[in-house]
Amino acid sequence: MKHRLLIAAALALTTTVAAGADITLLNVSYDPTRELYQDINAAFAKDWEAKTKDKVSIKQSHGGSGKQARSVIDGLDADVVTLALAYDIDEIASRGRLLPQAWQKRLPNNSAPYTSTIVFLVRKGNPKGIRDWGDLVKPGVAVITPNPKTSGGARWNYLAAWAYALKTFGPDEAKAKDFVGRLYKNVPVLDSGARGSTTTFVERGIGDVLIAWENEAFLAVKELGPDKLEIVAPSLSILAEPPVSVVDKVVDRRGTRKVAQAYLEYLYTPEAQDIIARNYYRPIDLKVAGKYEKQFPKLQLITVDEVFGGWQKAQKTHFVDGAVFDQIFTR
Amino acid sequence: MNGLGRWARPLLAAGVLSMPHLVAAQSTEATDALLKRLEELDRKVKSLEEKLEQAERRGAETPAAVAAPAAVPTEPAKAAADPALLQRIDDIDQQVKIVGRKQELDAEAAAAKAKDGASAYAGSQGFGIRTADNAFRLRFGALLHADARAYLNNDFPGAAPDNFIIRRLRPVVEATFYDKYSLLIRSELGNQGSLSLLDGYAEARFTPEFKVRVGKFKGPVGLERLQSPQDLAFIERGFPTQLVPNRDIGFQFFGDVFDGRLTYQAGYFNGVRDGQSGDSDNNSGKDFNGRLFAHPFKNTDIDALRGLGLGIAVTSGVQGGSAASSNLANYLTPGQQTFFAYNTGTFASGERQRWSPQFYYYNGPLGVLGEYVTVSQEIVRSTNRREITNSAWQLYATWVLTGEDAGYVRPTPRHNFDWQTGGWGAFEVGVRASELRVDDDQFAGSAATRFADPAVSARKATDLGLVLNWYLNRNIKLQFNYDQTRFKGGAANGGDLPDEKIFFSRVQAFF
Repeated sequence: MKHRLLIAAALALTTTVAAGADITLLNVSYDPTRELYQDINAAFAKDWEAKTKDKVSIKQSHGGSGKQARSVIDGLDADVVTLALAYDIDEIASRGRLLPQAWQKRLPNNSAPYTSTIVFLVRKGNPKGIRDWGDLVKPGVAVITPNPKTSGGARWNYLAAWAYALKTFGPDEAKAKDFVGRLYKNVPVLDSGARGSTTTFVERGIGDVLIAWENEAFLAVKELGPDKLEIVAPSLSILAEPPVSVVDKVVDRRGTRKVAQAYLEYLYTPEAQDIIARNYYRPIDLKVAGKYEKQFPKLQLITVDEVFGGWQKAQKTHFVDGAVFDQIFTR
Repeated sequence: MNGLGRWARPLLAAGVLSMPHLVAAQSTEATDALLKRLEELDRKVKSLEEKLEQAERRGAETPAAVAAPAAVPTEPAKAAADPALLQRIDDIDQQVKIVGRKQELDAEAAAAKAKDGASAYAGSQGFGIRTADNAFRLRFGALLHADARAYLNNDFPGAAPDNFIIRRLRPVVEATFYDKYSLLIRSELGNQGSLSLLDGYAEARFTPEFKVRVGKFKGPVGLERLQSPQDLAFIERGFPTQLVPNRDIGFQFFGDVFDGRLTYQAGYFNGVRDGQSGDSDNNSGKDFNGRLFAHPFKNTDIDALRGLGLGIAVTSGVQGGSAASSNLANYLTPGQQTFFAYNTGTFASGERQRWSPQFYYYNGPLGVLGEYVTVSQEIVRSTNRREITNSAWQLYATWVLTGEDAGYVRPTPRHNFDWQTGGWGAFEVGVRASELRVDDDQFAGSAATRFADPAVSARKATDLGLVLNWYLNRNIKLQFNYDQTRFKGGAANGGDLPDEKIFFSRVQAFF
């Protein structure tokens, strides 16, 4: 009997292959969130290990939000996506069928654990006297903003400018189109993502004003110093709500749903909200928001829903091939 | 920006020289024009500098006491000398930077495009080649099941010897075109030296709701049969699998509807014997196979029920045979020994129908799978013609001891086995009860006409199995399986076959 068991086990035990590592997640995110998720990932890994004794490492992928969404649809194995706008995750749901259409209802605040907005970054002393959107269309002002076809941040920029035009010239779409068209005539370089535009403006020294994510503008001033750059808050801007979601088909296939879900839920905790605020994103936790209230300028913020009827409509009207942006930006 | 005057020329020159992209683009018209303008400005700046130097020299020759103070010109003074020119230098400086940045972005885009070209990949999912947009893919894979079998009860008639066996060795190649069409070829090199085409089919996935598959592949009936062999919880499948089709040749429409909550499959096949595959057909009768499987709580907030799947499958057709080609199958024990065999001269002749309600449930480390199959078939032997009905069921439960999620696909270890880092992979235990019952009418009639011999074939087999699975990682699994099967009938004088007791182990390598 004994020898039979040994024979039976022999073949099994002759092959023991060692490979691999601990749990890994891939967070596919938009361009300027590198620093934020570096901090979040470290904190979550520590928290998760304390709770479960499991080690988790989170890899990051960054790029223009639309471009990142296409990569996920094309097979990039993202356990979670943390993109610039809901439309890009909608695309992953509808075109990629990697998560349910109602993904946005699964987490609080429409699955947006933080918000941000759009501001201007100018050189020290604001040599071109840029105070508001109207100054961006003046001749001789070079404006740096990324390509709305590939960058989520750029779409927020574009829509904020459009909203300003509607407010300034009345509900006249033709005038708004002319205004935004003149603004883009002042754009000498279109980067594919927000971080690329920051490089163009800050490191390459091109342009007079960068239309930037608020967090990106704060970060640039922090890194280069207030003696080099200044932030200008326009009279009106847009409330950006970057959403997050688990990618169901990937986590189910990889067996990572539980930890991926916990990772996103962690973003809503007071600890993570504090990290979010420290990285210059606006926290949704009221207590944390109160603590960092003085950090953020008070702006009149419009939403995509109230001015543009939601992201699906805004995308169709402005950003799909042949839509308004293609009409006004022909080079 | 850089209103510099005397320092503008060398700075601009240095800027130009430090931009290899710009040098590389000298052939372009725009850059040529830009450089020409730059040269013009360079000459003007040089001329301005000479004039300023002359003025400085003249100032130095004038006695300080009488001459108006002609201090060395400061930068603002120089700028004031020709602000329009300095503005133009600033403009040119910006244009040079813009050209440089655009070329930098073009280079980045070109590099990204090159990176996104067709590339080889390797990982736990397998090895292959794919284009950047993933629309064209070629995947290589293989599955090895190397088993060690120990039969612990030698009283079983014709008991097989203890042995090592290559139960499965299956290389697979799958090519995908335009993301929607694919061709899969899987062959069998194992299973006691046989060499055969296991699967060979083309598939078109027009939409998630509507797909078509044509060729040789698993008939959509048995729940455990449809589970890939690398994902099986036990070394051998349970009794219900012996009553449902294995690989058959035909075509099938299938898809996922209601946001993936319902899967349907409907196919038309040659029709194969219970549990068997077929490469040819000995009659014109064909089988319809259909299956509906629902995940009613998928995508809901009811976490405890998200892993529940319920379904029903059916086959229907008219199948005939002959004394030489019966179109009927014998039934095997978990140890792969025959416990029920038809008498010579018995063959299928008429309608055959199968029904199979089935379910699984996965919640965290818990997995439960159950299915029931009944098959009715008209059979003939000599003057004896009857419709007989055989049935089987199984119910098993597994638990992943290390806490990973169980599923219809195998668990992914949180910590892969690794001597050096101390990872142990994932461990899973399971228990299974399974039974196959053949129709009593199989044994009715005289020795010359009855379909099966009650002194050789059992009427019922009931199995209880235990398993321990060790997932070293996604690709390597070790299994240790004990099964004890009890029989009713099958021995002389109305006696029962002795219990079959087996201990099987398996090394699985899969990519």
